[in-house]
Amino acid sequence: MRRRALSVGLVALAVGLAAPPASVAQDTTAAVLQRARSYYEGLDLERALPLLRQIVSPQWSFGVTTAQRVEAYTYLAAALVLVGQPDSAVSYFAAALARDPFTDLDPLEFTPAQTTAFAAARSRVFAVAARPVAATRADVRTERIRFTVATTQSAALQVSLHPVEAGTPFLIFQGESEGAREVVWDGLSPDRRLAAPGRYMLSVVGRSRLSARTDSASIFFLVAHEAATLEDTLPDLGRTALLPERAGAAGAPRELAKGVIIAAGALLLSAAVMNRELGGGERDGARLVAGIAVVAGTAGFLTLNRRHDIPANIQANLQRETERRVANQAIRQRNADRLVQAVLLVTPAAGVGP
Amino acid sequence: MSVAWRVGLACLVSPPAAAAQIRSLAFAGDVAFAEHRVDDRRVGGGVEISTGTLFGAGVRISVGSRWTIGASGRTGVLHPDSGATLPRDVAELALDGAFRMRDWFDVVGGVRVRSYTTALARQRWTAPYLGAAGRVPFAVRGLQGLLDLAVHPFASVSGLTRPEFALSGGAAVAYSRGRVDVQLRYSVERYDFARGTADERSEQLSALTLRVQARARSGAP
Repeated sequence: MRRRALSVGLVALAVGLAAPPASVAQDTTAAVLQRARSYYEGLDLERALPLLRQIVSPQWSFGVTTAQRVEAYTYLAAALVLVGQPDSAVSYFAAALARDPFTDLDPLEFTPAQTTAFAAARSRVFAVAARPVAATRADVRTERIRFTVATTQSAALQVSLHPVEAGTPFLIFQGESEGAREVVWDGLSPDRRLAAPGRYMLSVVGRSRLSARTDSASIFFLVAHEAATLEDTLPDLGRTALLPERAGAAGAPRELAKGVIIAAGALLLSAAVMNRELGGGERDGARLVAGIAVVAGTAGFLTLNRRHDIPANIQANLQRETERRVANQAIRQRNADRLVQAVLLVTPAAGVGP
Repeated sequence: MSVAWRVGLACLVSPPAAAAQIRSLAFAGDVAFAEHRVDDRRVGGGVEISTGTLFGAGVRISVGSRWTIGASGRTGVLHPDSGATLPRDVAELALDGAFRMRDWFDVVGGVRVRSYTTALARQRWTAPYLGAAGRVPFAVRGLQGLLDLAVHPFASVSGLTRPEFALSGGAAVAYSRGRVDVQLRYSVERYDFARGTADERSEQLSALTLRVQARARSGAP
């Protein structure tokens, strides 16, 4: 018997020395909470209550999330109603509401006595809250960005958005509200432009009609514009892409050569064919013909070398310009379509900065 | 049977049939400023130079797409430059033919019969020739250059042996407008007789000829 007690003590010591990691701790809280709920649902309240009290106790050594604590308070309060302790139940319901104003009881799962106690708790606690923003992609032309806020009592509620980096706050809701409600934002700033990218704070401020108390809550989120991948328009057609539209004829230099050939022929006749011993030979005549031939060649050169239009190239260049213009028009249209989509990417953020 | 033969036969048998073969008909007149030089070592008088103006006329027909046949004559007086010799009357008849091998190249042939007549004597030349002629059209419409070169292997001269070397050539620039062709041609004929002997004789005739031709029927010049 002593040996068994010793071994249990060693195990307990080992458990105590070894600090459990946070996930293990939460798992442990979750497991205990799950067991307590099972007992509650089986109306085994004598077993459920101690477990729930352990979780909400300051001595509970494992980590407890807000949601787990709120659930523990809620089931603890509901169990207390069933065991005939409504005042304590109201206190625990109030504690749950103070930590999470979104807390509510499903009438199908809870008894009228429990919901009555919960309503009484509501009248004691005034709090407002906003649910963290879920990551959203919204084309604000057709979609809206939705926030969920809550008050525990009927209250005058103001929900506003505060651009953290720059810009002025603007209201997106103002009015009476009680319980949870959805607030819709069209994604536009007060000047009716697409909201600028950046960090925003959703501020919820409520003033209770019942107790005249004021409470506020805020959450942060990031707004980004979905980067539309735009196409580049086709560049201007440079000189290399266009065909020459004016040119001289390719055979112009040949005209000069023709003139030179005839001139050379005339001079060659007067020099090579001529009998040198006889001399003479109307060489001036040969020079005259040679000169005329050179003039004729030059005239031919100038005639052909005169700059003139090349209709085929002009037509081809027009065709290329037209194709480029049409292609660029289509690209601009596609880009405009992409830009006008106005897709906002909303992601939750922590605080006013990273 | 060639076109030329067919034309000749048609002329004999049926003149209208011959006329149907003719694609163009042209008449030409020309004036030539000619210089004649001769050096006869047997005479030993040195180079005799005569110059003068020759006037000529001719007719040319194009037969089919390739053949051209022409007949021409010219005459004039060549005057000696220093009075060393007598003036020479020149008279020449020529029958020419050309076959168009390419658009720019013809084979030419024919015969020239020429006489030099002085107060003392007459010398007759008969010079068949064969050669080539090239045409170089310029970009200026109607303007073309012409070159020709011919050999005279069977030239004969009365009172002389055959020349050992007989060559003629010409270079011209021609301009056509409408039916009229104007041509300025430089030409030279060279004949060498008995070269390297005591009887050596050299003779040449050079001329600058202005020729005007009018086409009576349509066709290429």
